[in-house]
Amino acid sequence: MRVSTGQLQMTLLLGMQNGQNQYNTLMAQMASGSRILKPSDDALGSVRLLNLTRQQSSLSQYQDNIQQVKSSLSEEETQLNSVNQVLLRIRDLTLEAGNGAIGVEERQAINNEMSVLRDSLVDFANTKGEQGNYLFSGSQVDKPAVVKDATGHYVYQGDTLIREVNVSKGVTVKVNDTAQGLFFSGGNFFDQLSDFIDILNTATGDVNPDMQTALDQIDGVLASVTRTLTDIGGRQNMLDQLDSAHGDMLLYSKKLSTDISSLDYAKASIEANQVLLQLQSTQQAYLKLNNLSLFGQN
Amino acid sequence: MSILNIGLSGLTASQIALSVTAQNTANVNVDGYSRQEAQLASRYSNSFGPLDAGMGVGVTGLRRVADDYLTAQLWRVTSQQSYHEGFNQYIGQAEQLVSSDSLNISLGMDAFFASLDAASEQPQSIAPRQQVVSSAGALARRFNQLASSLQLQGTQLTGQIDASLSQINTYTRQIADLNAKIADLTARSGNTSQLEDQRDNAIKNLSKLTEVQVSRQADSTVTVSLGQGQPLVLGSVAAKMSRIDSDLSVDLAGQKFPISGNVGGTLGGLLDYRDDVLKPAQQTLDQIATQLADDFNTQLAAGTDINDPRGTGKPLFTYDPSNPAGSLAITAGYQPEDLAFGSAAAGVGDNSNLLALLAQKDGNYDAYTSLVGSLAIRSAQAQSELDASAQLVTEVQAKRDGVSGVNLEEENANMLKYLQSYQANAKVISTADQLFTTLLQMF
Repeated sequence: MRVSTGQLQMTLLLGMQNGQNQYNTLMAQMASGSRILKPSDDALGSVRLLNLTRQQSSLSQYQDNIQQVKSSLSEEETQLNSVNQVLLRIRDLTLEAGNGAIGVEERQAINNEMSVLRDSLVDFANTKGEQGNYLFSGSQVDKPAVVKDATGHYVYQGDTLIREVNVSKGVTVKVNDTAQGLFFSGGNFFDQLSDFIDILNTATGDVNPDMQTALDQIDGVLASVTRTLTDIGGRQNMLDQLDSAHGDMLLYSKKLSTDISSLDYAKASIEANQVLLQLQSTQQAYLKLNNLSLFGQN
Repeated sequence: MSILNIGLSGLTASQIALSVTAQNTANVNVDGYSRQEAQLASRYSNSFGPLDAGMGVGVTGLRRVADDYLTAQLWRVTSQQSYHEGFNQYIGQAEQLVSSDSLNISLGMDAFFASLDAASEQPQSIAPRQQVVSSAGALARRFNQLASSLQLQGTQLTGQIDASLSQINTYTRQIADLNAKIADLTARSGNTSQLEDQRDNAIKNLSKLTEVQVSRQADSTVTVSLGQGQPLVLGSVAAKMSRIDSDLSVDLAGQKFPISGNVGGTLGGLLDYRDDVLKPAQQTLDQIATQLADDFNTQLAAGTDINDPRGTGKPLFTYDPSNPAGSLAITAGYQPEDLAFGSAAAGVGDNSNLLALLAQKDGNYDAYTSLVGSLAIRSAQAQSELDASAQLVTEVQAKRDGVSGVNLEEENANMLKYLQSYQANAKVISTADQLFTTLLQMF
């Protein structure tokens, strides 16, 4: 085939341009550490990366949620443990008060302590979280759960709403428990306790039947507190499991992202050397060609 | 005397051939130059006597070495390459835009939904609500910036389309003018080589802009038309291509021919990108923005805010329906308390409506992910087509240059050849002179 002079030059020039382009791409890949510089470098991979990023964002958020829920639950747990202690003391005092052998003065002393303990139970029911929200009021977080109304009766101001928080795809966990469930499910415990205290204050005869009633009521509340504590423990276990599952998933997802996007440096640097070699030989061929002309010989 | 004449004819022919070589050598670097050849033929005397050697040599013409088929092929592949260049130039930019960290809608949604999720534990707390409002604002800005970047592409495209049209009209004018000159010169049997090169170059430039069909007429003029048949040049008359909005047409001597479909060349690439990629991408983005805003506002309206007194949820997003993605914004004066995360029946600590908002997460990503995916696939395809067509141009150009291009070595050899024949013919003349002198000395 006949080759024109311009064509020879053009072929070598194109070769050099191609070499430079390839080298440039390899350098950009090596500088960024990513094999995908633009989506079209790997269309499918880019879409998968987008989905993985979204998954990672969700998983991180779930993990954040879990930490938040766990700290709320342990706060509640601490409070309920204290409530448990107070209830046990009230139970002891109730038993002591029912003892026919004790006198009026002793009974009054018991009575005083029980009043203090009742008030502290009300305080526990009205515990505020770090955000100033009432923990046991359901969704009425801006209102104290238990207050005394104008007639001297205790009333629950909250509602029965249990807040759910997403902790995994399609999985929610209950974040709060209400004073309603704890203290009001078997009747109004605070009023019952107050009534018993009044009886202790005023009754002169046998208080044994009243004591039995009070004990039943106390045991009922103790049972619901214990049940709630167990439930919280269960929720925390579930959260721990989910947390570590999310952690594993996140690790796997990030590894997948890296596998899709990351550059094989060894391969890239070998390629870069090859391109460089090709570029150099094309340049030398170009130089030689320029010295090679019949016009130079005659 | 005939020896002298024969020698003279050889001398003249060598001179002409040398000047052709000189012309070829001088034009070695001229793009689109077709080399010329001196065509030599023996001259015989009319007497055809038995001892008549002939009347020397003559240059019958200068041949412009060109292969019309290859030239036409070059124009066609040039059109294809330019089409892909035009298309690629923009789609490459578009795919970078939709996937860039600062404009990527998907990343904006990640942040927005994460902020919503973070608010679910303490729905009454202001700080996480503030975070929701500000990440919604950031998401809206991503939509705005991406929409305006695509809008800008549209403006640049229109500018480039208009520039292409005016260039096309310049080239058709040039071709028509050259047609007239060539027809004139052909009628006078002149050398049209240079004019034909010029015309071929003009056609090549034209075919970069749009795909053309060229047919050579008996009077050496060419008729140029678009791939679909609309005439661009008829003899010495050039058509004018023009645009009204997105409708193109060709106007030849008062007659209008509408253009539709792929016109090829840069113009075709630009038009196809605008209609097949840019506009659908803008529509998709608008749909995503509309759906996100509408779904959110509707769900918010089903809930109750934490203002005092508490009220029905206000819409978080606003947009102008004529330009949804470009105008998406947070409702003016929107306060964190305005977010309706709870229901009317429950207290401020209720997050039931927030959970309903979060449930919308899944539906809102897919359209964008598939936009990025389809742009990437289309762009990868366009790049490989561009590479293939560039390769084809290189090959066809090599073939064309193989026929028409100048090779300096060849010219050098020709130069030596004709130099030698010039010297030899000069020797013939001096021999004729010697013969004459010898004869004279006899007396």
